Amino acid sequence: MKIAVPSTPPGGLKALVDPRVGRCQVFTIVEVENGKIKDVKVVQNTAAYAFGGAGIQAVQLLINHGVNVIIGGNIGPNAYMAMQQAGIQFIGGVMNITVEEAVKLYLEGKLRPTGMPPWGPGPGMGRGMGRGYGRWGRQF
Amino acid sequence: MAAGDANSKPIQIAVTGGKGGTGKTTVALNLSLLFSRDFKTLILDYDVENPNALILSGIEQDKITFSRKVYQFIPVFKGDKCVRCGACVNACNSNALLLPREGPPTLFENLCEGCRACKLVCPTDAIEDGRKLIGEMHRVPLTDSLELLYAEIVPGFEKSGYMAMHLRRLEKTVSREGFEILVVDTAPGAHCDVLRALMGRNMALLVTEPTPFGEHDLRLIIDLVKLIGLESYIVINRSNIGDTSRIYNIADESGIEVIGEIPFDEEVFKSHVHSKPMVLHYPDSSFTRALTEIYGKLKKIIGDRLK
Repeated sequence: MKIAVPSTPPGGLKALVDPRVGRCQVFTIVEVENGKIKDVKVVQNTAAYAFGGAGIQAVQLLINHGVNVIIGGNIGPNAYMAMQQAGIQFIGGVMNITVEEAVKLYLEGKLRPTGMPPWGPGPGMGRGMGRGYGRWGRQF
Repeated sequence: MAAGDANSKPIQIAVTGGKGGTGKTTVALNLSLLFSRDFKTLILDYDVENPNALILSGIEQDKITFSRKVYQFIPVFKGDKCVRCGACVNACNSNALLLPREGPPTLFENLCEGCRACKLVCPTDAIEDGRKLIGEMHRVPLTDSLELLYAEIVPGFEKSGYMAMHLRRLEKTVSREGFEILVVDTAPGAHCDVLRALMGRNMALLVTEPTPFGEHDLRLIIDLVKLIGLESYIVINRSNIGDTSRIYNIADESGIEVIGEIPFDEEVFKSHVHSKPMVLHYPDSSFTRALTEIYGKLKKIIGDRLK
């Protein structure tokens, strides 16, 4: 299983979780096997400075890296829909802890998956993009 | 006047100003009613998000003689032809396409700008033309010699400039029907939709008010009209409620003449409440007198130009 965590630069297990998914600088991708961390790699987020649709482009990047789970702070409705399309699980409301701590909490079953962003997808949702911290409340 | 010839192009006067609520639509509608006494006039409402020249005119919607829905291209994927190469996803500048783990790409419709890049790059011709409704354009006669053309976008559609572009195309066709004067009412601001409405006009009236907000936004719109080289004149609305000297300072700095002042007039409120245009129903009001004076000056400027 591959877990992607949006991270503050330079990324890696000791980096902090970046609450933004679409516009974080780097993703730390942690490969887990039998409940243990097997491999860690850092991927530049090419979508960070996209004019629009950064969330979708970031999810595309993670699909291409074969990611199954994303742990982060917040996402917009477009990114959420993109994750659903790709069958990626999203764990939201995680911030102010390191990537390693976040992954451990997830593996211990202490983080719950997050539902649809409150204002939901649909026509005209674009105005919500990139705003709205703490839609679901903090988990950690 | 040469503008009367069937083949000549109409004189185009834009009414803009940057700040919202300064009286752009009130000035544009009443000015076009004044013009329509002497010329065949077309008023265009380019505030495609909130078109309200029709409401202000007091004419009911059932008088609309022509309507056209406006659509934007969106890609429709033929699953059997798609080879999942990802070319369309890479080509999409708006990031509106996602290639999931299986099947053809998914479209995020609200991000799509209809540029067709996906269709152009698709190597297997797997994209068909789809469309989504973005708004509607309408044409309404207001008086015997004045017609209104306006557009309205569906709420939530973000690219108002795109709609303004469509209205501009319709305007090109309609204005050939012997119209001598075009009065163009723009949206507030200095963005794409305002720019699309202003480009290529003969002159612009910058309607402002003597407040710090008015001053600030006037400077912005002056930057814009200078950028596109559009001859402009400042109109100070509600001139007796603030310090007009600051507007005159801006006028001096920028070399743009103040063509007239319109004093605050309570009858304008009555005009709005009852949807009865000032120049028709309040001919003796200070607003109408001030606007008639501005109209006279404009007519002279236009007349001198055509000699």
